[in-house]
Amino acid sequence: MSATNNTKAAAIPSEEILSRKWDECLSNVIVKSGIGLSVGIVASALVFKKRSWPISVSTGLGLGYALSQCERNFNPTLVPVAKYQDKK
Amino acid sequence: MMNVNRLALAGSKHLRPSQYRVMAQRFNSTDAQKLTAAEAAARPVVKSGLRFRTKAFITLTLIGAGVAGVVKHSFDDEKFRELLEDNIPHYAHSLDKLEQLRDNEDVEKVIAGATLVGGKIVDLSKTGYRTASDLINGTTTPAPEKPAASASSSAAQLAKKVQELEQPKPAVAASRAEFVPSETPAPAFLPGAAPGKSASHVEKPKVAEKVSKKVEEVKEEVKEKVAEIKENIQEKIAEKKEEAPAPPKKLIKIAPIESEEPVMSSLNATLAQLVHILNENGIPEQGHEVFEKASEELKHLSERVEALKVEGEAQAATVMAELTEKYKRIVDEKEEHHEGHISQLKRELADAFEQEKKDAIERELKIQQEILREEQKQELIKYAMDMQRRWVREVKVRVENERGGRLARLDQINLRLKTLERQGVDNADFLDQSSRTHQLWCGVKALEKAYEAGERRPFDRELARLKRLAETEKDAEVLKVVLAAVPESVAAHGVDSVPELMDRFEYVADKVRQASLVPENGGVLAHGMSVVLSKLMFKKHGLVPGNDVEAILARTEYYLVENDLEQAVRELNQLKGWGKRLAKDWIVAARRRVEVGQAIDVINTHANLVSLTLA
Repeated sequence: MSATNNTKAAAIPSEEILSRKWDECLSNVIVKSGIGLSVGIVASALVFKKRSWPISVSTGLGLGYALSQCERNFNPTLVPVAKYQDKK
Repeated sequence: MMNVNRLALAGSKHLRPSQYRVMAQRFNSTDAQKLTAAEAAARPVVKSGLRFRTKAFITLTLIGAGVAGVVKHSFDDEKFRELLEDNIPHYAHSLDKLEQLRDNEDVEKVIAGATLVGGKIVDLSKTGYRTASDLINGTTTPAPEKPAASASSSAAQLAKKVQELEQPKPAVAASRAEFVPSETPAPAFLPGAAPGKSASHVEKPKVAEKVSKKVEEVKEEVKEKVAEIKENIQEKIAEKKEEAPAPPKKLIKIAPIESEEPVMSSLNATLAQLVHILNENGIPEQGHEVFEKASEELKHLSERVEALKVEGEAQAATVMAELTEKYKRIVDEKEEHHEGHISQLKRELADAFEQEKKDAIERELKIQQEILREEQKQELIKYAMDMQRRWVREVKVRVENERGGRLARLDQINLRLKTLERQGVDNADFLDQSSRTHQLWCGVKALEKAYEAGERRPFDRELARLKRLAETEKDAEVLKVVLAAVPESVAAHGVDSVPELMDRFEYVADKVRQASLVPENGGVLAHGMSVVLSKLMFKKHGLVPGNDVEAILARTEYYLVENDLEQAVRELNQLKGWGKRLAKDWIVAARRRVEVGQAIDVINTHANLVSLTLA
């Protein structure tokens, strides 16, 4: 991912950075939530006896993952334990 | 599969029996026939799972492992430790205590002692096992060498080796010592040389001895001879003495004979002496008589001598007179003769002299003649040379005059030719320069055209042409530098035109506005909020003061419209944060355009200058 990011950065004109980030974010969201959705459907169908909660859980997980990816994309300085560091 | 079945069945307790039977059939379980809810309820309930004790034990073990792991990790990781210390009360205190325990030396000693004890126990057990096995089997196994003992034995071996190494040293020293005395016999041959010398020394004295011996022998011979002679003399004297008659007892008296002759007087003296000696010694009478006789005879002798003298004188006189007369006559004759001879000789001499004079004069004349002739010749030669020189000089002068005339003309011609040449060269230079200036102008114009085109156009060919021109031209350092300052990539890609830049700027401005409200290190939400809220902001136009994003954008737009790219770039450069990042490429492109424009300006001025200096 980082390698492809670098080559992408070489070709992008600078005013498009944010647009690209948004694009990536959007694509991430779609892809990951879609994956989550599908996994949820499959899980609920196979494992959870057609309950509804696996689907939503999975989709939420996918969305959350996409969101965190977006955050990292927009703010590369973000580190998981950053808050403790800030307090220090 | 069986578990799934069981789970499914276990989860299907709420179903009706018919449904349950269907499920069981579906899942094809063997338990389906056996188990129904009622039947299952009828059976005694077997508690599944573990007992409480085991569960507690397992839980406690897991918790203990977890705590140990946490503690260990907190020792290793400072941040983790701090995190825990912050959030768990009394955690720091317990960790400190643990650290003390760990660092405690007593604990270490205890641990070391424990390990030692453990080692000893292990050894003991090993020996016990061996003895037991020996007893059982009836064999004897030797005790294994302890590593410590082997170490000590190896140390002993090392010591032995060291000693062995040290031993050859005294042997070496002994040989060394032997070496030294061997040197002393070396000069033994020197005394061998000395005998040679002493032999020579011995020989020399021998020779000397021989010589001296010979000398001594000679001396001795001489001495002997002298002695003999002396003896002879002495004998003779003695004989003489003996021969001499003994003087009479009475003293001899001898009358001294006086005479004029010295011989006689000396004889007299000697006689007197003899008489005296004899008188002293004493002579017999015979001698006395003899002596008187002798004296008488002496007297006679003296008288005789005198008589003889007189006679002799007379004779001599007569003879002398005769002789003188004879000689006179002879002399006179001779004189006459000689006179005639002399006069003849004189005449002859005079003739000869005259002859000689004539000869001499002739010779002198001849010599003088020759000398004169020589001089004449010399003068002639001199004159001839002089004439020749004069002639040559005249010729030279004439020639030079001629030449001067022509030479001057030649020089003139040469000068003119030179000036012509110079003029020609200057002309050629001028033409060259002007052609180059023209070319330069053309190149600059071409570059300008590419620069001012309505769209981006590459100008690398024009730039290359200008570089070639700059190389051939003199005093083109500035040009070369400026041309070198334009990078190849820029020339190859070309430079954006102003309309293009303006278009791009609108797009960029939009994006910058969208990103203007993002805080530092904002995430997705921040960006999203910025995008949404920026749409609610007013756009500014014209030359507005202020340092916020809108003002900067408005000013940049104003400068762009004014075609003042430099200022626009400077303005846009003042953006901060995301805006700057977004506007970077635009700034770079605009800068490139500005730089190329400046380069073209410089080249223009250079071309101007060249054309001015040309004229």
